[in-house]
Amino acid sequence: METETLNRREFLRIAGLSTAPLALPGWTPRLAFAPPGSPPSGDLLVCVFLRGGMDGLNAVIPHFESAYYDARANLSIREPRAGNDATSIRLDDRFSLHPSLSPLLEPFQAGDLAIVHACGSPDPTHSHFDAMDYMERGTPGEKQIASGWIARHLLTAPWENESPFRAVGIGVGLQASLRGPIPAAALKSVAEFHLPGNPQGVAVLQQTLSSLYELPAEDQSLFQGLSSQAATTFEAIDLLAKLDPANYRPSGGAAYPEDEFGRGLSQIALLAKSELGLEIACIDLGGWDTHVQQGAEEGRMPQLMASVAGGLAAFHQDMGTKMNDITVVTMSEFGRRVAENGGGGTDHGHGGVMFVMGGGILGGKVYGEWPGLAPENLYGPGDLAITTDFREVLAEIVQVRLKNDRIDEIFPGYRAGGFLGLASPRNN
Amino acid sequence: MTATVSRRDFLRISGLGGTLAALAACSPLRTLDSLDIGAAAVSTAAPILDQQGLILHTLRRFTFGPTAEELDTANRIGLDSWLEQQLAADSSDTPDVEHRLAEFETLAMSPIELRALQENGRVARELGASAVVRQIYSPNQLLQVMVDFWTNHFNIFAYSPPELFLKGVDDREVIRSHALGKFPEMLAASAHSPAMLVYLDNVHSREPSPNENYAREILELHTLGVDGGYTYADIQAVARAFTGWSVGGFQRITDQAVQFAYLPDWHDNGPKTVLGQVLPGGNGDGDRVLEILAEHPSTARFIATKLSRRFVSDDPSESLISQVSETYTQTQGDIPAMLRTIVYSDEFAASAGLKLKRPLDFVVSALRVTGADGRLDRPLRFFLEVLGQVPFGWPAPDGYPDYASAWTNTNQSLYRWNLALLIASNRLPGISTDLSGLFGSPSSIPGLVDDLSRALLGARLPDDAREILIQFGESLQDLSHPLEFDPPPLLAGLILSTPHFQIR
Repeated sequence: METETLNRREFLRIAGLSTAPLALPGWTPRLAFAPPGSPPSGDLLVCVFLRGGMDGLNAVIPHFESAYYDARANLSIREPRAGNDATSIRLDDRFSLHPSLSPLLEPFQAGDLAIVHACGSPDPTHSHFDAMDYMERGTPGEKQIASGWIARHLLTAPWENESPFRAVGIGVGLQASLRGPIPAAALKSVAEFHLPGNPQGVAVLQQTLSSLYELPAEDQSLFQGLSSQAATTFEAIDLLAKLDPANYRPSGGAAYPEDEFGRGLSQIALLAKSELGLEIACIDLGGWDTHVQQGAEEGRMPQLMASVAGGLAAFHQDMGTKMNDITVVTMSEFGRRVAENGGGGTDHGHGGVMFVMGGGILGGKVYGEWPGLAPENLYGPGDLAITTDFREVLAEIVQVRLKNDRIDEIFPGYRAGGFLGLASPRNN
Repeated sequence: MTATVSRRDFLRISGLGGTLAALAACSPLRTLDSLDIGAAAVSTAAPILDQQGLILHTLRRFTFGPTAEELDTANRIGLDSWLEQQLAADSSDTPDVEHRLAEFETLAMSPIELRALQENGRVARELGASAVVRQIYSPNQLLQVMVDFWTNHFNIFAYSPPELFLKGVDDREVIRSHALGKFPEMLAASAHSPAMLVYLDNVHSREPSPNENYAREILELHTLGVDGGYTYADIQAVARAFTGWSVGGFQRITDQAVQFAYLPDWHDNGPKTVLGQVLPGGNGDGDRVLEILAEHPSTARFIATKLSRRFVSDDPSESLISQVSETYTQTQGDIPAMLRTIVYSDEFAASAGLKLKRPLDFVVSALRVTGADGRLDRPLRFFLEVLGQVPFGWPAPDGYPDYASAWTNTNQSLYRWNLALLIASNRLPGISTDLSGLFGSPSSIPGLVDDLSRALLGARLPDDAREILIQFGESLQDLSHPLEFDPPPLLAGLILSTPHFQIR
């Protein structure tokens, strides 16, 4: 640990990063943070967790199912009709997109966005916490393994990456999928990752604090650990300060929605473009627990969908050709009951929808076997059944796009029967 | 600019280059000869701490960060008296704490009233703040530390209904009433707690297909431990024994109190074998399981291990665990007796500096030593969330982790520093701090640094850290210095940011 820290610090010193401010080219600094020849990783993975249980049936509507319209007298989205943008957007003979998801149509038609329907975690729980927990640990029904699936990917990946931004969780806490022995940076806000005060004052405080943490530690691993984390934190503060996130301008005319999710995605875009060694970024969007007043074409859930779609479409546009090295995946702990309830909403269900977006994704298609909505095909108390385990989708991304084939360790106990074939092999 | 003198130059100037920190004799942070601190090795060595150092070390472990006043008291009455006073505390709140809690009106409401209120955010904030208020202001610090320990041991994620409405009762009747009592009684209280029965799904458990969640966790997390020598058949039998242990009066909207209910129709009356003992079937089965578990040697060992990890080191020695485990067995799980075994062990005396403050320890200790006052629910919530330790907010049944590696990351460093600087400079909205009583004349920077170190850390800083702070403080007297603040809050903020303040 100590030698690694010294090596990194030594490298930074030689590279002039730890002391003098760096002259930055334009608005996307290319900080050669990673040691030469690395990282040899695969795609950057952006993992979006839609917390609360997204209603997959109103996001990607099975417009060919009369049972859908029967079960949802008030909430169903009308069948696609040309020239009427208040209805769903036809994707194929069976499915259409909710109108609020229309920004996703462009990446879908460009072949960069795949949809997996009737997908999710096979565990029968209807508890948000258990379901999220199982999904983030990647171990449905099993709580013995404390680490998250992404943490295990980082641990087993056959390469080293000492960047403080190797894995980043946007938000107040670190996502459970990132919990594990490889440190991930929790960033509430890229723009606010600094000490409080005016800039000159902060510089002085930071200098003093840094000196305090660089003092020769007592022979205790605790102090060494704190010292090493402090060094990483100062590096992170310094690097982020050079990025000038407040003045970030997206490329390609992309406009992120003015909400927390949009801001978070633009921060991921900034980190990705800055070449800081970012391999994993996790971001959340909550509020999908629409038991009451879900809203059909307008309302609570449509607003959330507009936020997701607007954010992802802007990210797609902003990253441009860099999307060839990026995979974005969305998940939610479960879908919702097929039948609407008496409160204008839907209760916790089972199967849901995942979106997978990237230049290496064979998009423009709705994947997954459709289980049907006839009563005899429903799961438990009246839920969409699951025909694709969420781990099948993630395992394919990990193996094909992230270039880590240790699926047995990342998803212990999971036996992949095969992949959907939604990812194309990387060129390098 | 003086403050930007590089560390190497600075060390050369002050003559410290190349030497390890020479620590003050009273500091508990002194270098240990070895990390191998098994009791056998230590018993032959010289005492590691003098009496004052031992008192500081003990109070750091068994309070939420000792104030100067508490240290004075303990030094005056001696360690034994301090410990016995603290162990004798009863669970009722002192008038001052009661007064502070009175502003959180939801604390006095019943679960039915809380549900009817339809202000879940407020209920959650006030519930969390109630724990922090007790931790900061209660003079019964050891009790509060144990309440935190057992809150994690019998963890219930409180922030989703209906647990949100039920956790307050569990906190009062299970955790706080038994935190310094007998473990078997607390275990039984927890098994009858509506919040626990709901959280771990036993509330729905009925024959012929019992829910195994509570059975699994009571074995793995509450009593025997995962390696405690039970099988899946034991889990199944325990689940059957607890069928019908449910909650009445909640699912229906009535005025009835929410309480434990045994539903005979749901109970599996067949005989069961739990850990080799045959249970006849009937209402008594669940109670019998609790007895079997409480008396089991694996439980003694598991509780001993967790207490040792909390109060001695992340990786306690086998010999310490055996000693504490033996106390459990001899005293039928008497919690004060186990704590005495720990405090008077050689390994405890040799463990100063080996435990990292968790975020709650850090936040509460910083507020305690700076004399913070104010309404705590909103401003604190932000930092506790960012630092990842909201009271009652750990989702899994295993409680917040109690080892350092879970709590060292970039966010931890940054937000601890931020919070330290904000608290010390009195810039945390809604909370006021008062440093004026903590130091003598501010004209002498070395005197100021020493006064503040004693008040905030309970000890002088090691010389090298002290020199850095003196240098910094003296640089502030330069009129062109970019920091507009007085030295005391800045120095206090830096002291709260040091690695020395991160340990307990």
